[in-house]
Amino acid sequence: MIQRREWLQQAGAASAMLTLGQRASAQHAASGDYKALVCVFLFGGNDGNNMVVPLGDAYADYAKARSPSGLAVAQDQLVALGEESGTARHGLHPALRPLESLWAKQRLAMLFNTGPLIEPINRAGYLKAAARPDNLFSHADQQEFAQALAGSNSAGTGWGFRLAREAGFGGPRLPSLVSFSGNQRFLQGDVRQALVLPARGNFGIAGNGTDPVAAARMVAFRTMWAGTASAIGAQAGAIVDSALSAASFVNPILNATSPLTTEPFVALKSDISQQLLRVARLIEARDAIGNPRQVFFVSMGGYDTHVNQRTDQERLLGELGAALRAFHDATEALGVADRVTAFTMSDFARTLKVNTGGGTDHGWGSHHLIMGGAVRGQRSYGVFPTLAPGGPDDAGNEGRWIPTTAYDQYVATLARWFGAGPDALREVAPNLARFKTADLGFMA
Amino acid sequence: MKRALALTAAAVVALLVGCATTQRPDRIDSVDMNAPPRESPADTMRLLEQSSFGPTPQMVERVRRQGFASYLDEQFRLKVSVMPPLKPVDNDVNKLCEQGDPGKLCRRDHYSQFQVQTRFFQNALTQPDQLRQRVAFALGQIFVVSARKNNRAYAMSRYQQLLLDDAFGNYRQLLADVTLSPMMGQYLDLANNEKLDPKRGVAPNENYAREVLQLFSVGLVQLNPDGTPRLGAEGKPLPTYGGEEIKEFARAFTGWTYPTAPGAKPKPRNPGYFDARLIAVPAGHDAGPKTLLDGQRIRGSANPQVDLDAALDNIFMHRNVGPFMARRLIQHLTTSNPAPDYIERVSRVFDDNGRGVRGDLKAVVRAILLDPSARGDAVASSNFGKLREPVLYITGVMRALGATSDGVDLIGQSAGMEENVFVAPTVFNFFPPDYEVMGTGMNAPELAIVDSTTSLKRADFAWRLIFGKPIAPDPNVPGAVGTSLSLVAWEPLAAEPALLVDKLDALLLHQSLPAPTREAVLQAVAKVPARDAALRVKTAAYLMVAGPQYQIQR
Repeated sequence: MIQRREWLQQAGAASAMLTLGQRASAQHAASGDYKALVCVFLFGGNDGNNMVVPLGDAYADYAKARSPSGLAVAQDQLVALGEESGTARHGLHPALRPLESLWAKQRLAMLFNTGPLIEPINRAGYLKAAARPDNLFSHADQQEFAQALAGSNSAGTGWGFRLAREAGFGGPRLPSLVSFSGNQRFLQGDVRQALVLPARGNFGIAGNGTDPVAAARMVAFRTMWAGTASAIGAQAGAIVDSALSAASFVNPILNATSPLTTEPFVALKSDISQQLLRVARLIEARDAIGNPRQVFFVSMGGYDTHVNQRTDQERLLGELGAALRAFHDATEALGVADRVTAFTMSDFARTLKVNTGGGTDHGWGSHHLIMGGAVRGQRSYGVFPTLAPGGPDDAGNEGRWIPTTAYDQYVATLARWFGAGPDALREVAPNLARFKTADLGFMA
Repeated sequence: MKRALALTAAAVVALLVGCATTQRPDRIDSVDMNAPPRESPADTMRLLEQSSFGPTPQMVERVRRQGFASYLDEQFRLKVSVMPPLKPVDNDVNKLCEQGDPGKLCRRDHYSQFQVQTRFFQNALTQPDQLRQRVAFALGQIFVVSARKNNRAYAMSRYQQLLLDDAFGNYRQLLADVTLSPMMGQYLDLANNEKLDPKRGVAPNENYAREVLQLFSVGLVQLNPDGTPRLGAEGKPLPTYGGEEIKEFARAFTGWTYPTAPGAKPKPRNPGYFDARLIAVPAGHDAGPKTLLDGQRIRGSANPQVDLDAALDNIFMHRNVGPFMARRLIQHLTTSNPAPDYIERVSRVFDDNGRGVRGDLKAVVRAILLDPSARGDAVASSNFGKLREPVLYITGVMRALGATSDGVDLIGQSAGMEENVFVAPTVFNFFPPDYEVMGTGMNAPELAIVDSTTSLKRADFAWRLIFGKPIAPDPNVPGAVGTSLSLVAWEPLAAEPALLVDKLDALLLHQSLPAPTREAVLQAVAKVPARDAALRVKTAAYLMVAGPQYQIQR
């Protein structure tokens, strides 16, 4: 069922005609045709309104909504991001200061007000209940939409899976789809299992010895898991099989101590930093792994800041900024910064309006960050919303921004850079055709 | 064919009597153990898998003679097991646990879930009120709070005790107790939720309003009594409520704060204190009229309790609650994919227990467990049943094999399999109820946390218990016994691998091991030299519990 479409056009017609196995060969990866995408998911709904704040006149709108309750970030605290043109129109939350120099080096871009959409929609259309994603403002549903680009009721595949499938899904050693953050909708697929690896510790099974008794026990264990009748057993069996097939190969890579990847992370302890460190190690081992494309999923939780947002979001963004910066520095040290792109996604943004607990409630469209050497950085993309509750961008009266850019467009722009042709893009981003632009232009 | 069939049940018990166990006698009723059994061993084991933390040979024999209805009646009556009655501690860890907290024991005991989790496992392994604990464990995964937001042990202990106390009560009482519990009040921000303040530009917090509707009661879409969605004109499910209702409920839920700590000065917004229910703060309450589910309007009261009661009544009376709770509880107890008629029979009991009472959880639990689709020696469909979630996998193996544990080691074991009990990642629990097996349309909630890493951790739990050295008692835990398992009593069977495997099949799988799987186990056992009886037993036991037949409860 694996259908390969126009893929890797840049690599030329010859490579497009290669079989799956050939394309996955180590030589191919070593030849310089290598790319990795890293989805950094911020679970809980990151408040984009405090992550990217307008400077100048528009700051007054922001301050009007957020200053009386004390949630506004003061203008002089923001990390002003000067654009190529020289003027700084927006500032980053100060906890993201580690990313400031990446912006200046044109390795960081911002995409404004993007989120789940089925078709373009405005306030009038929203109020008339035009087609819109099911169960807006619900965590589980919007996380699933972000990761599947489809409604949560469909038992559909994740877009990470579809993208990896379109790219050939990797060679015999490892699948090209790897999560350091548990099982997620992003990874769901109907063929070959994605690999879910631990952010810390070893990956393997106890008692996997080579003596005849241990070997016979492992044979029996695998036989038992291979032959179950129920749907649950069959799925679990496939997971066990893919884990055992990968373990002895990948465990040494996870625990490698090369300074190129280890040093940028040496001062960091957060869980997101450990996940990204191991992503960097898998990228470092790309030739041994032999997959010309790798798709990674990492995440952090805690962004559901209904109360005490000021302290909590500052801590979270602090961990995020430091980890992203270390990851970028590692890819730079490996000489692959222009082949690796990391980007954020989240459930939704949060209401501009503050609640009585010093926090904010569930919103919709949000701002996101794209980082890497192939990013056309030091620029922002999309349309910044008018920060007015009940205003033209609000789905209600609390400042829940109706996205002006669809997640499908965001993902398609990344996927095109990754090598997907038009047919593959439609598979990866099924709502794309209903939007004017398939390429937002933030990737080289 | 299977030689184990020739063994009498009495022989099974005799074999296992030698196994070390600290289980307390659960003979509250007197049951004549010489009487002929009324129930089959297989169906009894299945009932105990669904209604306890795992069958023990002793319980199987007892319940077979007692009969299912009296077993359930007895379980409903048994004394409630106790979570640790910890004293409240200061919110500031540094006040209680200043320097001189060697080994960080003060932090471990009061600002982590250590004491609550170890007690949870001890109770699950040994206390007689198995069904109550099992239902409370299920309720705790529906009415989720998490130590991720509040790590104070006393607060969680109170909340888990509440669920144990209310497990066989009425849903309406449970809903009220959960809503006003300080642990939930903090987790979903009902505590210190105040009315609109235009001066500060702040509005009521929507968190509890949204989640009580979506996760604890009615759910996102309107349901038929059999749990299927009610469809609108275009064939799409009809939403149960929208954003406006959430805002109205958020207003109804204003005007509550934490109880005042002893010796503290009462404030309109008390700091977190988790020893008693939230208290009303009329000044913070929005007294205006509200429009709730199904357009029901309430006048609004200056008394927060009046509005809260009206809001909870509005939720409780909604027709969705029966099918919603029926499906959730069935999925936690018996099967991931209940047929609509099964859900309907249970939701009718929720609506009316036969004596005109709505929301009787005892009647609901009885209906779930005694339903014809859950009973019988074997399941009708290969897809009946559920994957054992990590906690039930751990306790099931340990109870069946007669292992002992103080729970200390089990905390890390369950956490490694992504079910760190009482520390759920979010209010959506460790796994979602509608998680689907790709391409089949089948639900398998517990499968959501099975991945490359955790699938191996599950096998490694079995490995560590069966092949590993006993876990020594932690000298820093009073009364610790460590974790250990002895399979010595099985060693006489090692000379005959087929007999060994068949007896394990009877103990663990109610004799459902398929022939090819049995063959695979036998081959592995036969590779072990006959002189190493212990290794043969361990090899067989490991494969039996690490394989899919045991991991999936049928």
